[in-house]
Amino acid sequence: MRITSRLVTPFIQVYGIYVILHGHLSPGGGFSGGAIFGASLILIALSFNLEAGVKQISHQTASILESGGVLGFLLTGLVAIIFGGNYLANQAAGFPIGQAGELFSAGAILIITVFVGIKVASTIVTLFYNIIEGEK
Amino acid sequence: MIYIFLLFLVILTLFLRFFKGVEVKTILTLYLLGLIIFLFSFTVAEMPPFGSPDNPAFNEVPQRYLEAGVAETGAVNIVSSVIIDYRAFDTLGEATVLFVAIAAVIATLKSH
Amino acid sequence: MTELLNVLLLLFLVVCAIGVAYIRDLLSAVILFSSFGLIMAIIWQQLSAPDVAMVEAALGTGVATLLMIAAISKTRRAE
Repeated sequence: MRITSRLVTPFIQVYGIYVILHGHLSPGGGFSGGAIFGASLILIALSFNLEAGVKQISHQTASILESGGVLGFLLTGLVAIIFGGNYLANQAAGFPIGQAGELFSAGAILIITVFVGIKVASTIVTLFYNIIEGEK
Repeated sequence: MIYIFLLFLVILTLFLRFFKGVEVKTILTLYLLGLIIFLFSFTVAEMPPFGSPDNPAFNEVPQRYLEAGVAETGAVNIVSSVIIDYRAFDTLGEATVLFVAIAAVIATLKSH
Repeated sequence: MTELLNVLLLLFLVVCAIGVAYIRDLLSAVILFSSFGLIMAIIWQQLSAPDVAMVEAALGTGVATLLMIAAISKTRRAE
């Protein structure tokens, strides 16, 4: 179990990051990729023990990442207002669209997808840690 | 219609399984439930087929997304361009719901 | 063929849902619920919604089952 999870975990994490980063190109996006990434972190905590999982991503890091995800989402919307568009506008606010089909294209969509992915992954990890530790 | 028939078979077997020694009230309740399920499945069977071009959801809004989505947002994945660009405020609401949920879990579990 | 597969999947889904409602052992109910989520993911894939299928397979089958098993391990197993 430990050997298998140690072998499989990097592939799951790379797949999660791929799903997040290619959210505007292929099926997937922030929610799916974040769920896959968070599930890989839970797999570490399950197959070894809770301390090994906490060593990967501590409570404080998880809560900072979680609040940072929502804040990044909000601030990306505010940047659009600063550059003279509606809230959460993409092209009208001057985000670089780029060539459709490339990795770094689609302006604000990629940024927001990354923030949502970070947020969902840390949410899942925090939820799991809190329920497992909980009240004894 | 074949779906309705299959569903009715499932209901009938369930019904016959519970038929031994039950009250009249229970049987009437099961009849009522079966009638409601039959009506619902009849409504489902009357709905337009999946993916047909003349169902009511396929009006000018998704046509606009399909035609101008790539040029307006730069995202090849139309689903992503809808949920993060056109309907980004909705996604912000989802993120807020997640945040509030995790805050509630921490508030209930950590207070002890 | 695809039609038959869809009908079989939906029937299995209904059986899983009824089983979750009727079974008395909570751990078995959680395992049945996870198989419900897996079949639901395949059905989403059949309905050509692969992103929803991905979310369902990761969240509905993996994480929700884990959280419910964690909750059972904190409380009682019998209903």
